[in-house]
Amino acid sequence: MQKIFKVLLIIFSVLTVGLWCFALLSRQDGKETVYGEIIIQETPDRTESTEHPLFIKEVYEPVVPEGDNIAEDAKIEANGYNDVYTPRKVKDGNPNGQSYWEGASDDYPNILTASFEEGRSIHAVKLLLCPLSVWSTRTQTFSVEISEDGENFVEFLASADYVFNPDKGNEVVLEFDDITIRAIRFAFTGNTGASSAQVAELEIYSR
Amino acid sequence: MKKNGILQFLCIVALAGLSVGAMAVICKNMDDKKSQEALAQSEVILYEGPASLRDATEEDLKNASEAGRDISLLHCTDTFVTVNGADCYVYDTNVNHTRQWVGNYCPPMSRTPITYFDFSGTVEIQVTVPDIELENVKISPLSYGIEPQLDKDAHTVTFRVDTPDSYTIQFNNSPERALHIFANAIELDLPDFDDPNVIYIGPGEWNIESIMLKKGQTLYLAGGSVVHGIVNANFESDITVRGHGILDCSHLEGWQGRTAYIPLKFDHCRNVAIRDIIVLNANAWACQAYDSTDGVIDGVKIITARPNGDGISLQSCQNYQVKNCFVRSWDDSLVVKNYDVNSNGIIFSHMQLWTDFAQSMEVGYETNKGNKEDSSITDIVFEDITVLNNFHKPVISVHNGDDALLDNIVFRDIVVEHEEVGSGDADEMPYLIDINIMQNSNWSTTKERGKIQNVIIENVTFLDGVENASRIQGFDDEHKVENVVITNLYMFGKKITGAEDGKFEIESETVSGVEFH
Repeated sequence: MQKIFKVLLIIFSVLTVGLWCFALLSRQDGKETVYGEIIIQETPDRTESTEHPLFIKEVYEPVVPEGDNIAEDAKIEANGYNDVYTPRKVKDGNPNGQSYWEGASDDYPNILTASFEEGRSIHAVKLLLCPLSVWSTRTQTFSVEISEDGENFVEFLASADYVFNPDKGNEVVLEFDDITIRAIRFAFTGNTGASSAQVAELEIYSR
Repeated sequence: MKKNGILQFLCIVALAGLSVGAMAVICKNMDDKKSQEALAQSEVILYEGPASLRDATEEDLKNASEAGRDISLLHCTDTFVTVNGADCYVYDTNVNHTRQWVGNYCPPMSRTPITYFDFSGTVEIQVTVPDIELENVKISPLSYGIEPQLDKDAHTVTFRVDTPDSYTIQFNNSPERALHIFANAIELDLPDFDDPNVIYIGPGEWNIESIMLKKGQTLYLAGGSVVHGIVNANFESDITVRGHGILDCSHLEGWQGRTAYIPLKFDHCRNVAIRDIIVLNANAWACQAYDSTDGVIDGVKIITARPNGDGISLQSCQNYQVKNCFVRSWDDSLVVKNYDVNSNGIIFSHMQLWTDFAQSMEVGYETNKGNKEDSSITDIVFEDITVLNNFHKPVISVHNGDDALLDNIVFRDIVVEHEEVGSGDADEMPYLIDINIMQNSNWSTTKERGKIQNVIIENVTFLDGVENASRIQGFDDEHKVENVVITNLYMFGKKITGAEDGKFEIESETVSGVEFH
């Protein structure tokens, strides 16, 4: 028994010394930390934020028809609207932000009507969307109808596609010979940028 | 003789103990060696910040509304980060600790530091905060078990990470000046920058009013870029937005209920992928998909601070995957709702959320704002989510404010590290989990009420916070909440085995089939 103890004692003594030697030799403390590759991506040395060349827009001069915009005198109605985008917003002088009319979703035709108390002579209309790029280019399809008595309408311009491009002021201008009307209405049947018609401002010009 | 034997035996035991001790030291040394080798083999990409960003001053760090101070994205000057010994640029962005709605849309905002880099292998991060007397730090997600070294005299925190992910360091048990570190994987599959369909925005600070993407285009924001602008698409398909740069909207006035310029807005789109970019200072909510299908939002980091600053809002979308994102928001962090057609097949997975205001994971309230027939929200999954903090409204919520059917809503493998639900003006809804059918003057569109059925809450753990109640409530006998199965729900160290146990308020007249396992 004692012999066994002695042998074990010798084995454990050697093992312990050996292990501690290895433990001390394998210490990492104090060794200099070596890091791998570090790549630093530099930025241009500029002192201020810069317009990105890919997105600089050419200056666009809006088309302003001759005469005065008489839309303010008109009563504006629609056969529907979406959410908070009511028809009266098309004559508030503000084409930006939420100030636009949007017809009822997926419910064409969306009809926007401007009517006057008495006959007015007009020769141009202008429809606008917000000119910011975020109002990306879209095509709206609509016809124009006019009324001499405010009740009975006849087709004035057949249905056609009109492109609203923010690089071109997001405006569509229709000019024609002078006509006298009590009301004019726009019957929308398509819009590639939304599920219904959109008009931020409607301007009606009289000489 | 006997004494000798005992002595020898004791010697053997002692030597055995010493051997075990030596083995432990050897194991630790081996681990250290491995870690050192991993550090030596690591690869790190650091991005200089734009030199044009102004250094943050003491004045900038004051808690004030956007009317009261400059809210620009700045260069941080009180928190310093090195990665493997090299300086890593730190930005200073806006966050919001206000816990109540502010009627004039101008709540006071504060600031917090963020930084990012790319790496492979193991990296050593050192954070220095000269102005903070360090008592303790918390590094989230806690699941990584990171044990940092604190040097209180040097004001440093040092730790290593080996997994690309987002890491948040909170000092002295405070959410203020928490550092968000976005440790990205190195990009291996860069797009072909010569491809005319790839729009490359390089490093530097850029003004771009808006980037409207078209079918087939890829927008790449390079690391080191800060773009003041928004990225949108409308009725388009097959679009990718990616890169490690920053999309920042601090130049825009808060929307104040009028004009929201959403930094990432993809409406009526199909097959849109948004990957990795950082989105800061939205003037309202940050990321929206509306009436869109087959989308992926992967690795995007979002921090909002202004009113209605939802993180990711999916409105009437189908087949969407949202994964690996970090969202810190001053309104709902993740939202699914119906503004038009039905929502279906949406999965949020491996996400980190910090909800300063409103709910963390919300289905609703608007479930049929488009007033459609047979409206429904179905097959919505939130899984592998870590909520770092929630300071306001329910962490998990299913709110049916309209007449839709909400069916098969799953919350699985969720860890809530800390919550103070019910703070501020959330005292009217101080629920950790809230499943509710209601008519709400703010959010309801339809006259009729809907139903909620088949809600699964599985492997959800609340680690720390206020031990609030939870609620399950239908509307009436015909508009009920049915079949809610709660499995392995742990709240503050205790497994919840019944309603009373978990402080669940269950309205028996309008709820049926609630099970706890």
